[in-house]
Amino acid sequence: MIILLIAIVIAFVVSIASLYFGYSKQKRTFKKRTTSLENYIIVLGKQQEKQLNQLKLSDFLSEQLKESNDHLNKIIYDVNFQLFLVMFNKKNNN
Amino acid sequence: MLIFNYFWLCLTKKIIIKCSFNRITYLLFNISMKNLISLILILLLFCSCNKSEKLNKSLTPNQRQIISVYNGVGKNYLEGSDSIEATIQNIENISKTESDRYKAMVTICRGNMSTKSSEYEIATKKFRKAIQLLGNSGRDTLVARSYNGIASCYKNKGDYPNAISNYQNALRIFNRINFVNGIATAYAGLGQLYLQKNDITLAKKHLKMTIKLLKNKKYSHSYLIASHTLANIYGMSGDMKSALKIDEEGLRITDSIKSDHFKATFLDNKANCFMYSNQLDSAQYYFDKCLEMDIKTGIDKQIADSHSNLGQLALFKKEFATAEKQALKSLEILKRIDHKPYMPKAYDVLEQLYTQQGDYKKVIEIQKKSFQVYKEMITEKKEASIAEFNILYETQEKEKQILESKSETNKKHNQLIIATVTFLGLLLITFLIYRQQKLKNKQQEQEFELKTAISQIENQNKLQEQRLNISRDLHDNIGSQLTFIISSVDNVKYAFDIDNKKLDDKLTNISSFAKETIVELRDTIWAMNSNEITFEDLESRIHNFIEKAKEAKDEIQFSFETDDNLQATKLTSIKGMNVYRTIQEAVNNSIKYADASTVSITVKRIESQIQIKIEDDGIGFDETAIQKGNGLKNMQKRIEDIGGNFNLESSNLGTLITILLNN
Repeated sequence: MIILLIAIVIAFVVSIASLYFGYSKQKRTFKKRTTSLENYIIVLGKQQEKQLNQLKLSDFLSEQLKESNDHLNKIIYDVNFQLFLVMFNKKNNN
Repeated sequence: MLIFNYFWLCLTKKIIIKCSFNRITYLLFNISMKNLISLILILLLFCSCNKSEKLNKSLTPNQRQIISVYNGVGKNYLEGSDSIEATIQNIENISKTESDRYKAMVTICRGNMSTKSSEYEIATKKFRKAIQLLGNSGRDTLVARSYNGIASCYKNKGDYPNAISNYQNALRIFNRINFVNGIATAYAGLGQLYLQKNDITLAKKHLKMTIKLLKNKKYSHSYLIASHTLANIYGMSGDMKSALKIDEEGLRITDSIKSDHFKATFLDNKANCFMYSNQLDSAQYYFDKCLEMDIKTGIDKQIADSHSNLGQLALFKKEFATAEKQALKSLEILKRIDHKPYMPKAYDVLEQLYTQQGDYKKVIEIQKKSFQVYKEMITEKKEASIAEFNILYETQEKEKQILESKSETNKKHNQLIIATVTFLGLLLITFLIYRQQKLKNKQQEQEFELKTAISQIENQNKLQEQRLNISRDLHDNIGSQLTFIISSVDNVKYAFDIDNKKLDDKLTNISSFAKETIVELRDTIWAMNSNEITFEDLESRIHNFIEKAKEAKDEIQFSFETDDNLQATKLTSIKGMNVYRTIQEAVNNSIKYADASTVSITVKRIESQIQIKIEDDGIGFDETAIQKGNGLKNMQKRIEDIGGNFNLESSNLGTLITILLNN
């Protein structure tokens, strides 16, 4: 009876220990997996931040180019006006 | 017989084991030769088989002969085989060179033979010698059989206390080794003893126990002894039906095993039943047959008992002369063999006879003799010792029962502990499995969430990348268009002689504006392509800008100082670009409007902040008088956009712009 009891206790201890180690192992494996996923998310986040910065700069540049375009249009208009005046004066003189 | 049965059983078991072994070996070899466990099993079986074979082989022919005779005597001595005496004499001779165990076996055989021939003293000595020879050899069955033999002798002699004591010794050993046949034999002997003592209750109890123990072994001698004694008791108490039923069964068994000795005992019972039922002719027939068989088997006490019965029958028939003759014959035999228990029966026949004849003198004389025998058998002292033995035995039995009860309680207690431990263990295991499963589900959920988040970010990044690619293409296109404009304007100016100063200025203005725009475009693309911008990068870029500015005004001294520990400090592309534009604007202002001779830029770390100072020694301006133009506003806005602090101080000694950035 005692032997049976000891056998049962040993069987339970072994089962419980294996379950406990299985539990710990599962936790460790999951932690490793999540860590790698989290690292990947961090990398993606940095990449996204970089892209956002680039987009902001791009937007800013677009704004500047728009202003430059307006300014350039104005100058070209002035040039055309001056050319027109020159051509008009030449015609009158002739 | 019992010993013979025992040995036969052992032999049969060995044969079964051998056959089983051969079959198992064959099967195991065929099923899985490679299986290590099977191989170990086979080896173990080989070992055990070889061991038993070795045991058999180790017996010498003499030893085998002794065992064979010992087993056979149990069966044959009661049946009066003539050759048995010679056989025992033979093994007695060959046992002289054998160990004490074999000598004891021969001695037990001799004791049985002496008991059969009613030589109780000699038989007792033989059995005692056997016990002495066996000593501490561990041959418990042989020792217990010897005690049984001694008890039987004392019982036949009417020495009941000694008989009970020896039966109890035998019982103790048989109980210890749990030898059922031995226990039943001892109970049967005790049953007969109590019947002789006229203690019907105890006799019935012991006989019934024997029958119960041997209910599956009805051909054993002990069962037959118990049966005919129980039938005798039923007959004495007037229950002829039960008695005859047992007798009929007994006769059927004895016929099948061809045992004249036991058949005679059942015939004797049957005859008694007929006699007391007043069927005197039938009784005469069975008594005669019984006597004939008793004479054939040669057991004196049985012959004497048959004579007593015939005397009683003759008395019933009023054949007084025959009755006296039979009774006296019985007494003669009983006195010769000193068998007291049967004597009172013979004396009783004579007493009845003389009473019926009116010879009271002889009646008194017979009564005296009968009383004397009775006194010898049953005295107060003997009764007291029997009672003492009974009490002792009952006490031992009770102690045994208490121990068994305790053992049962302990067993239940242990079972309860095992059940509790099992339950708790299972509960714990269930909990652990549940916890593990729960964790698994939770982990799966978390993993799914993470993967979903990754997928979303990846999609967003792809979209942003697409937008960036489009804007890059656009900027590249604009850059080439601007270059084309510059080139076209320069070509026009070079190809045509333009007298109109205004027109010439306008064209120059277009060219320089386009160039400035290209520079801005390139700066922004540089910032976009740089993930992070260090102060070192900024310094080199500002130096380039200053070099170009020097071309316009070479009298201005520029200096750029950065703390060594800040050289590698990284700013994001947005921050870097805004800082660069601000410094560029400040330097530009100093060149254009301040009339300064030196412009210095210093970058320092102050606690957790980065301080950038742009200082010139120009004419300065009145902050309150001059409204902030687009340039100053832009500088402030750029710094505030990146979370920094912008400060402007100006006097006629110069202008100082201080920028503080959080790092």
